[in-house]
Amino acid sequence: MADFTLEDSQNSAPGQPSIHEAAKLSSTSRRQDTQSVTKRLQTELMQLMLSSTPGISAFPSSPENLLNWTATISGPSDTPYASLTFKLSFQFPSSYPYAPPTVLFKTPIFHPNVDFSGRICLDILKDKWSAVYNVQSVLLSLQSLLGEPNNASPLNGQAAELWDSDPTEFKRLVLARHQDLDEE
Amino acid sequence: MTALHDQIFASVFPPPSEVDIPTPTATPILGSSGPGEPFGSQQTNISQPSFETGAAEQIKWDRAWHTATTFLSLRGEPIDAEQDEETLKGRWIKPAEPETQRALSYLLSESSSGRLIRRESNTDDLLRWYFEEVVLEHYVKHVLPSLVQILRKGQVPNALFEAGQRLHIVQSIYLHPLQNHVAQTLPNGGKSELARFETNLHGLFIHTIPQEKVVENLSGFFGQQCSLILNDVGKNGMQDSVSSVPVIRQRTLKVMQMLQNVGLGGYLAQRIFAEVMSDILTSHIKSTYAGVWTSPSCVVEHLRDWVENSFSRFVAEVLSSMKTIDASGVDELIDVTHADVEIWQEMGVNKLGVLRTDELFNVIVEWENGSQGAIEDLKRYVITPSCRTYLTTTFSSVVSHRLLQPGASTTEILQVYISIIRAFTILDPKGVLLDRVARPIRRYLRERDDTVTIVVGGLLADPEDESTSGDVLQELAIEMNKSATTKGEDEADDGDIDYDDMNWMPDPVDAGPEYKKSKNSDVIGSLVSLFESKDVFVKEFQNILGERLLKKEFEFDREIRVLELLKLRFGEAALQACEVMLRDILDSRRVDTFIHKDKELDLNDEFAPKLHTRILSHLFWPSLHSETFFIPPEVESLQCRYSTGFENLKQSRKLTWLQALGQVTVTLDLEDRTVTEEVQTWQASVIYAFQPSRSEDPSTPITRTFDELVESLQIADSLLHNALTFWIGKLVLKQTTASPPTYTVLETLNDEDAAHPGTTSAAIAAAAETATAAAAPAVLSEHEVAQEKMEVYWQYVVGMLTNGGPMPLQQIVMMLKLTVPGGFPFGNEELKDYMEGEVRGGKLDFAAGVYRIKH
Repeated sequence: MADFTLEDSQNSAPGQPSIHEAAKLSSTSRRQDTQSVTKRLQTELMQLMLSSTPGISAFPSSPENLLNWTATISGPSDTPYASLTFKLSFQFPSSYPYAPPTVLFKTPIFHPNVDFSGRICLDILKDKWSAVYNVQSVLLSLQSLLGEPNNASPLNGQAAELWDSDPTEFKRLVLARHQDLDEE
Repeated sequence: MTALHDQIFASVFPPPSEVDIPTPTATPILGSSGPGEPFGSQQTNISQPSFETGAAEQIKWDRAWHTATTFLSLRGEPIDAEQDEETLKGRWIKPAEPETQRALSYLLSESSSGRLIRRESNTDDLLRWYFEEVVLEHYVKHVLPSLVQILRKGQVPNALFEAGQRLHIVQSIYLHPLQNHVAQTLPNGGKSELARFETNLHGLFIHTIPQEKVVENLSGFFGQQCSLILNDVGKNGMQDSVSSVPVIRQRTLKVMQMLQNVGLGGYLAQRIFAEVMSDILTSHIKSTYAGVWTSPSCVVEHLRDWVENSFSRFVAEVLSSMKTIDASGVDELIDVTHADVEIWQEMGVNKLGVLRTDELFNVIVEWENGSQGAIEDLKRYVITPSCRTYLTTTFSSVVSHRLLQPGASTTEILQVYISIIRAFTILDPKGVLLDRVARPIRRYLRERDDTVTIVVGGLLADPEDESTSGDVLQELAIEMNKSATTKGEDEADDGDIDYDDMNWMPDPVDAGPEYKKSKNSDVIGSLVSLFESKDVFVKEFQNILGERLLKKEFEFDREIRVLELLKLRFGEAALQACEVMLRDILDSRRVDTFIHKDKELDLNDEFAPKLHTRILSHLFWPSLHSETFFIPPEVESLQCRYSTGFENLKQSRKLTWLQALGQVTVTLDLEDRTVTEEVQTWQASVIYAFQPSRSEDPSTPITRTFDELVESLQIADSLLHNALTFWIGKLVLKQTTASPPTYTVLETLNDEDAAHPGTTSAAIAAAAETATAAAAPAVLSEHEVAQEKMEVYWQYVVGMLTNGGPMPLQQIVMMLKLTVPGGFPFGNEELKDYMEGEVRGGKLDFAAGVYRIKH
């Protein structure tokens, strides 16, 4: 319970306070932090592997650093993104899970809530973040975001507009923008 | 006659070569004028020596010297030792004439004037001249070469004897004129001069004859004689030459005395004698006590007795025989005191300890056949830290050399380890030695995969069962029963020091400062504590227990008892799962009876299948085989009814059937015979599939192909193979075509069928048996569990390759090692095998050294 009250105070001021907080924790406890983050991420990975939800997957990008992950989601079938796969990058702060990971689309995507450099506007990755979220829930949220964009706060105005007005043009732009990163 | 003739001749015409003659004997003595005397005056009173003038006196001295040296000179030829004493005497010993006697006394006597004048100089010492000019020359020229030859060529102890004898003769010849003619002219009978001469002579002997030969001969001689004498005595007249022992002893002493006489005794001989006696002690102990391990041991007492009564007595005799001559002048005192005997006894005990240390491994291997006596002997030995260190290092090296080898089975090692524990507990109740010795063994045992299995298997073995093979450590079961009874006494041990304990002993000096005897130093405790945590042990116990519970009929007295005993050691909590497992099985019986009554399962006609179950609490059992396949519909319906019966009895609980576990009694009615077999469930299912279906004509033998069977039974290939081999072995099925594999029921067993596979059927049956045995274990092995986990790792690999793109094997392994909690248990090769399987399965691509996921 104490955990939750702590988070509330963090989340009340959106943006940077968590990083600020992390800096205050200073280097003495840093090592321990990294360790506990690693442990947590390992557990998350294990859960992810054991549950194997279709359409989403994630894995650490390099053996040196567990704080960088790459994730893959496939577009839900009844959306313009059907049968497309998207790569994302996860960057976990050392104060994770008390601060949200930084998530970016690596695959170019045409979506109302994603800008052209892949930044995402999603509340749970900002002020609505909570320590009970994990990689899996973030990925599921993102997957559902593909089908149900939040057109009230778009990062891509054109996409927000076309979503409602011209689904065919929207789909064409989605396909035009999408390109697989797989074989690099 | 010749000698006399020679002398007469020589007195007239002295031989020029031998001795120079200062002046002719016939020349009158003119003398010279003394100081203050008129030159040329004649002195008449020659008879008064004190007034002799210098020159006259000199002439007289020279004459006497001449006579004496002529007398003392020896023939320039070797002394022929072959001749008897008389001949030798006649040839070498000259009679002394009165003139010679006078000359000698003039030269040597204290009171003679010549002597008085020459008191200060020593150039005119006759004895010295004799030694240096005559004896030395003769010895070097004529005696030494033959001596060296004897020693070089001769057989080891005999050559010495011969040389000694020759020296003895030579010495007596050299000494003869001195003893008989010279000595009495000397003051005090010439004792000191003679002794000095003899010492010089001995020095000459010792230094001229080759030392190493003497040493070799002496030690050979001592060795031979002493071992003859002492071992006979030691073995209490076991040999037939008992009567000759005193003879040998006498001879030895005589030889010793002779050698002593010619100067070959002394320090040299004493040193060699000491060495030989030390060797004798060692070899005596070795030959008498090696392999004598009976308990109670009186070896130490026996040895002490032997040292005191045989060894020491002989040493004393030899030493005293060496002493006799020396007593004349030199003040060395060799005596055997009581303290010496005690030291020798200690030496003996030490040597025995060394012997026992070298034997220790064999002693321990033979422990079961009663070798406790050796340990009792050792106990007397390991009383100093150096002994203890010697013991542990020697034993450890033997153990690592002989026991901790890939060739030794784990059972053997454990067996020996158990014996080691027992032996060392007697040897050193404080456990310090055991602690040191056991470390490498324990480390090694931990590396062996099957150690846990064997230990647990041993605990559960039946101690009364004689028939069990050598692979089972029944030992442990026996020990377990024993320790159950003695447990009570040990309990008090773990507190602080008991102040009322009158038998309390301090820890040995070589125990570390923090040393504390581990509580688990008994056999069971040591083996159980082999493993870092008791979890490993408990887990294995659980597996084996599960196995046995599922295999055996309802008789679990042993298991219950072992479980109770383990609970005493590990506590209730650790063994809770096992407790539940046992309870499951025992409850099953009750539940089974109840359901049978409730559902009236027994009331069917006698041809309907009967079903009895074991109901297991899934959570508490180790992983079990859960392969599925279709079972005969009759049995399935029975299972359904059973399930409902169970659900009525236990609300909100469900049965999950483990088809692969269980035993079936099958009776097959074939045309010409009836076959009844106790088989595994899948074997029953397979043979049931050969039951003719409605559409088939029951009169022709039923034929099924392998693929049909897989299809209809949904059974794993391996199980089907096993079942088919089994039934072919039992001459129930026959493979008719090889491709596709087709099998037919042998309804009638005609001669050809019986005879043709007859030669091979035994082999097939054996193969089937082993196959069954291999497939039969109910509990999944460690490896199988790991294989199951591989599924999870596969998910990791999929996740990795999906997100990270294609990767080489090495990188995949690295990632797995980092990301899998608790580490990735497989190596590169194992993962590679698995990956290749997946490549074949079409889930992966492998190209240019990287794996790629297939979409």
